[in-house]
Amino acid sequence: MERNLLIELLEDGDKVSLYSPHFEGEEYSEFEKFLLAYKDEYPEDVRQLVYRLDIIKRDGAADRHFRYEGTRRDRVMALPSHLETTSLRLYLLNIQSKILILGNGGLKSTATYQEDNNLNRCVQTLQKIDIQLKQLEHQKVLIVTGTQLLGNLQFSIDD
Amino acid sequence: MLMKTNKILDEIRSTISPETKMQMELSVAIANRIYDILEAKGMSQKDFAHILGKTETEVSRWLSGTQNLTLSTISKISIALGEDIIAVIGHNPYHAYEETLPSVAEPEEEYKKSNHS
Repeated sequence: MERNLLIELLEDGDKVSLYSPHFEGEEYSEFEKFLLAYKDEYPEDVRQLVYRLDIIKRDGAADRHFRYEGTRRDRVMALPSHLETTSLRLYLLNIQSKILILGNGGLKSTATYQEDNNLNRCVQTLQKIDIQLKQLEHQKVLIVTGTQLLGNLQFSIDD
Repeated sequence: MLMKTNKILDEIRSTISPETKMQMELSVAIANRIYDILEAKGMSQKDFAHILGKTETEVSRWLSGTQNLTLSTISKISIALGEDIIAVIGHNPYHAYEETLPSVAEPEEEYKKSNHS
């Protein structure tokens, strides 16, 4: 099913800005849905993730701060809850270490994310968004300037 | 310039304790320190993992700043790199350790003395 979405700016940062896909007709962006889903059940893990993002916004988003997920062809990465009290994973796209597009995530209880329907869907959604973004970047319809993503931030994916 | 912030994130931020913030700042700082030493020494993560008998995945996790490293692990890393990773005010752990090591020249000097006397 084709779904329209907007890559929405959530927060500016000195070195990194935070964006999230926001599907048409939905109240919240993907990252906001993640926060709302887990903030009451796993409050400490969510706090750690939020503070980790604050450090990244301030200091930078070098690849080593994340775990590689997805495939070699895409820019999907995972941010684990900081002190790993649980296996809460947040999936994201790291664009040139300047922009994080924060997706959804969940508790990882299987050896690989592919074995978990929810996590697999979270990663696949970001992979599809990444394909679109790369095309738009290639066409120069979308550009990264400083920590801002400028251009056409609305498109659709088959999700 | 006014920075845009998100309401849900701000609500969660307001509940983060100073202890959590400090613990996370420390673990990221430790990870950055290890990374900087590896870079300065031109040592790859693979070589470093080999020296410590660990997997590359484990070293990669240390460098991500998302691990709650124990003093035991920090000590092993410090010895392997030959550098302080953390310091307590008024005390440099690795340098203090180094001072307890016998001087490399000492045994040879003792040998010469015993053979020429």
